[in-house]
Amino acid sequence: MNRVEFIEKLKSLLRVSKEDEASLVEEYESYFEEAMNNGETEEQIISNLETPEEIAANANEELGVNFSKGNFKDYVDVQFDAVKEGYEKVVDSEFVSNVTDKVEEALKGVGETLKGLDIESKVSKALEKVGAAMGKMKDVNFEATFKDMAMKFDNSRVETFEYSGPELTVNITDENKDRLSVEVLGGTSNLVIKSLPTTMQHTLSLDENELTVHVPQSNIKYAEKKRMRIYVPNSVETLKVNGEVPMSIKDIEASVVVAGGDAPLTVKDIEGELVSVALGNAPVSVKDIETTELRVEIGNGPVTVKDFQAEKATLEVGNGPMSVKNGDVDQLTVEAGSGPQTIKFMNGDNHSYKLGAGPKTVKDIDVDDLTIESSGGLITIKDVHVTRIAGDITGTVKTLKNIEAEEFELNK
Amino acid sequence: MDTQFKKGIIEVCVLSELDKEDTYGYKLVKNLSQTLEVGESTIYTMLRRLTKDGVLDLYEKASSDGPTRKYYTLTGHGKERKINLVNEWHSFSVKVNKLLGGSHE
Repeated sequence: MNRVEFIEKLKSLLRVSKEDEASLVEEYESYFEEAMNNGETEEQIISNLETPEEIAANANEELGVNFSKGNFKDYVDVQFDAVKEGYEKVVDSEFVSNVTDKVEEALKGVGETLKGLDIESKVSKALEKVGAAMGKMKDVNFEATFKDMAMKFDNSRVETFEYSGPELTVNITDENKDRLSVEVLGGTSNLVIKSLPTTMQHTLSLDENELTVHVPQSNIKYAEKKRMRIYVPNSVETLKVNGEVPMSIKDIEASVVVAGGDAPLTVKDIEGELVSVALGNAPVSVKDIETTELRVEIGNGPVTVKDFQAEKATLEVGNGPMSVKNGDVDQLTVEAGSGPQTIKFMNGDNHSYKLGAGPKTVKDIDVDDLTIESSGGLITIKDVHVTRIAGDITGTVKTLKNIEAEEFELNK
Repeated sequence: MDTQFKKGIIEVCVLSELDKEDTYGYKLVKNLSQTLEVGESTIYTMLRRLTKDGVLDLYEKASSDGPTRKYYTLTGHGKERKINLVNEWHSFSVKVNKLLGGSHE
């Protein structure tokens, strides 16, 4: 073995952080240089030194992290808990930096040790997440206490606070609104805003139950498809989100009230007393909703409302394509302008559809009382099972078939 | 000898050497490894750990006859630690000598 092979062998056996490795290797390189200046040969030096195996064993024990198949998962769990803890309690820089070091060590060891193990991909994914989270937790330098919440966040990246009020309003204002997306998710006991990527600047202000996130136009250097995530605390009964940016609101067990401008919106998997969506001209998708009352008020834009269950629902849509399907609603009122419209697979008691000019289809409706007001354009009505069907249709009836009604009061 | 015990002794010796004068890794290893009968890796990893713990600091210094060397020096915290460890060692060795029937008081 020569000097180069000795050093390479040592590097391959070390399970320590990059910094530790660099420091040790530098010392051994110096050792070689000093000893050679004193007239020793590489061979003599190597015979005087411990073997790479002995050195690595010593260094790994003193500085490194020992992984074995059995305890590795536990180790990762500990890292996750540490990260979670970082979010959940007041963290100081020292704590964060300690955890960061540990995660770096974990990341260092994972590549070699887990090759060929079936948990490899799972663990490396997990570690990626830990790493990403840790990267954003550096430089915690701010802490403030508000009336009903304690808030802490770093200078630009991760902000968490405990919040115990029944109502929370999140305002997102972005001067360059076509560039930022916001994702709101439920499910943890804290509210966490993650803004990606790390270079993005924003300011937050928090007052009583209102959190305002402001993203200035300057300093925005981030790739497309990056999102801001907001985890909603369990204690929140009503979440209000106001934003002019593309938003995605998912998995919330609370009432959700969204107001926005013309940016796309997705509202999905909501279980709460009230789900209310009011937007300008924007593509909107509302689905998997279980609520007492559903209100959707949209300007012109493709609107999809599907897979929903409510005692009462009101859908008011301007001109633009509209698709309403798979609804189980006692009282449903739909009012739509001109645009291709489809309403199908609906159940309930009293439904009223007021549709403007444009092609439209009403199909597979099973309710007690159905009123259809249609002004202009082509209409197809089929597969309807009702006690009573009523209304006025102006324009052309393209198809009217398979209608089962005890009372038929539809004027056309 | 118990490993932890040995490590404790090595640490006192490393800190004492550095309290006399700042020095570089190779020289420290040469001075200590023979006297204490320890492998060089024990000293190198200890230097690294003590540096990370803020006991030691590093600076570079050019040598007249060879490469630029990295010198280890005690930090303020390191100086305190050295004094504490040396005191502990003295008090410990006094007690041990007493037990062994020695005359050292």
